[in-house]
Amino acid sequence: MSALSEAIERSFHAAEHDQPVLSPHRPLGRRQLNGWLVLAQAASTTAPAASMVIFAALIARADDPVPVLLVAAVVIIGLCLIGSSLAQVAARMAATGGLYSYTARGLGDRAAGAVAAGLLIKYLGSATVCLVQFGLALADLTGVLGGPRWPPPLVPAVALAAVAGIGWLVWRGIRVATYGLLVIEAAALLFMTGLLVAAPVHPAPVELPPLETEQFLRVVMFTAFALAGFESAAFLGPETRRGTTVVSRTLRWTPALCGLPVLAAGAATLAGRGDVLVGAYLFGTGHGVPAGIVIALQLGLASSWLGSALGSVNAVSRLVYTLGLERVWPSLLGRVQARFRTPGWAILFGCSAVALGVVALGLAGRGSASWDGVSLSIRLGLMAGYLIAVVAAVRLLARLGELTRRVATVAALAAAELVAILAVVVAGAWTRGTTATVITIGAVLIVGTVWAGLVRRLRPGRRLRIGTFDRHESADALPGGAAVVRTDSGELALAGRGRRTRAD
Amino acid sequence: MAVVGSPVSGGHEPRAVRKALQLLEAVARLGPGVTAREIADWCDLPRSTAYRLLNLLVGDGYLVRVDELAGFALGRRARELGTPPAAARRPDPDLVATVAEDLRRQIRHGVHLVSLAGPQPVWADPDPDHEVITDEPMLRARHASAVGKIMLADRPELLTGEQLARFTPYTITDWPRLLAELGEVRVRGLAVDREETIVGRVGLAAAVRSADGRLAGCLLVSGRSGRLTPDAPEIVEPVLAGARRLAGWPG
Repeated sequence: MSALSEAIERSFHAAEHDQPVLSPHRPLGRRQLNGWLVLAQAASTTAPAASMVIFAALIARADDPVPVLLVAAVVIIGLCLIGSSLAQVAARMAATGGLYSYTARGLGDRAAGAVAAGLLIKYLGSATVCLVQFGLALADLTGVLGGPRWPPPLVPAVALAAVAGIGWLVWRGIRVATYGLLVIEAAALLFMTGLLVAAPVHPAPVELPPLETEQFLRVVMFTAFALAGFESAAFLGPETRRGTTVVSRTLRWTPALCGLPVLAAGAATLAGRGDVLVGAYLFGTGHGVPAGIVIALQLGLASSWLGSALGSVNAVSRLVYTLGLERVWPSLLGRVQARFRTPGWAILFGCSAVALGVVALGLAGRGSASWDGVSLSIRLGLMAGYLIAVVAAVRLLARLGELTRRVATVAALAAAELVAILAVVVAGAWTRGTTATVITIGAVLIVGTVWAGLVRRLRPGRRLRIGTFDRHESADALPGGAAVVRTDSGELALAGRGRRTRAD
Repeated sequence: MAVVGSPVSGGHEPRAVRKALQLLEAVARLGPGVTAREIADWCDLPRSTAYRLLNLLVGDGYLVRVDELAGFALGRRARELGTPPAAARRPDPDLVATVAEDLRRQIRHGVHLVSLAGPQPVWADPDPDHEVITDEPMLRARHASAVGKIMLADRPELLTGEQLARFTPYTITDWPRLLAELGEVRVRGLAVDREETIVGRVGLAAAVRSADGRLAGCLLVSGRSGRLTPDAPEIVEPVLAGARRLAGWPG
């Protein structure tokens, strides 16, 4: 009889653990989501439909579009490498803190603090920008329909209403929120693709305004950040059925799945099929584009921005919940409301922060210094977060003894691309005289690092909770197999019998 | 006991399936806490292949990660690869009625047989001399009632970690205290409700197990506090004996 047969037979007679191991994420609705919903979260946060339109316009305005397309392809490949590196950790642990938790496990508290700061900037900033864009798209739509021009406060007012709606959806439950994402983004993508494939009219040729900044800089920055947000799938691991498998697959493939439509939009524009889309986007009904097309385009853009904002609020609520659960931030944020099993206080915090941002940015307007500052901050925060998380991934795998040469190589290439993109961003900021923003974001990341260290000094026990993940429970283990031990943080955890529990 | 796709079989299973079974056999043989590298070396598989398959097996529940992600142990789903031991002799269908009647003669309080084979407790043989209602709180209030504690002790996946509702001033609303009590319930196979569900009513429940060791139900004795002493040996011993006589009942 094999050892496996014996172990299975023993399990029918073995007693269960006296004190069962439970996951710290049990209060959340664990294992509810399927792969499609997780993909919806990852894809919609990147706003692929809007990215297709903006990239098509970028190609149309470029002096030399072919290199632009090639550079974009290289950046997308680099993002796939980043996704692949992060997927290695996702395949081994599910955590509501996403990249923050991965970093905590790989590089420790201080690095995790910096990543948390970067991700907060990214998601709160993205949600803010997307919701203001949503308001502006509706304002443009009203204009095409012949309605009056919106007074300046109306855009942020509409965006605030959208914040409330998004907050309700996220509070109502993770399944409700992600089904909403799926519907919104699918509709927007279908329409944009249809418009590229079957352009109904050929508008009059027009002289397009050239790109405002240097072409290479512009395409690298746009492409890298157009697809940023795919990592938001990592926050949903504990709430997903077969979480480690599904989330790792999503991280690995979403950059390609969302990047291909963007490249296709660029290629279609190069082939002359993007005139309608670009014309409608840049000029509205001017230059022969029918009003119906422009209306539908603005609706598609509004949907895409709304979907992206919803994905960002979903993600930031889980991050803030994790910070509260680990007592790095007030523990109130780590509570889960019993009715729909969502982190109500964390959602309220996230929506409140976004609401403040929406008012400020909505009144400042697109193209203002504040707008540029927020956009730059999002980019820096995220790229820094990615870079630290990729390094953490390698470190964690090495500590587990599961690092292979292939994974190390992929991570090295991903890190090199991230350093290059960061260099491009900083160079661009220097050129445009916005270095102060770069310094500010750097300071915020340092504050995140220092805060983690401060928490450790003031409340030593707290430190040990950082890096909480969705542990396997007693109900997951074969009876008579794993033992139960108490970890340094006081939690019960499964352990090998007679094997030394490794310290963090 | 047969194990589907045993590694020692010489069948034509796809290679990935055979490798997966090899990995499971390695974990079973090398013991819980074995690392990925040790498993790969034992199976003589390329490490990247082994790591990838191990992650898939964990994702599907055949393995679990232990020792803060560094080690592996068999998961509960591995049971699906085998069959439970041959069913023991099932009790005579009349035995259930006989045991219940014997207890009702000995214990002058309500003696009920409750089925726990499904997701919710169901009256299987309620005491005809004591009124019961379908939506009886003593069945519903899991962390407070004797029946509920029997269920929770056997099915830890039902423990939600949420705030525990208070039904009476005596209801346990403290998780550590509840978990400690459930530990005792698990060991003794006996749970007590000391006015924790309804003020003035107490209960005692003893677990009844099916032929393959699963929780099938429980014998519940309930009565007024002051008249029924659930800890008394003259109550506990007959109830435990009755539960033993009912071993093999499918529920």
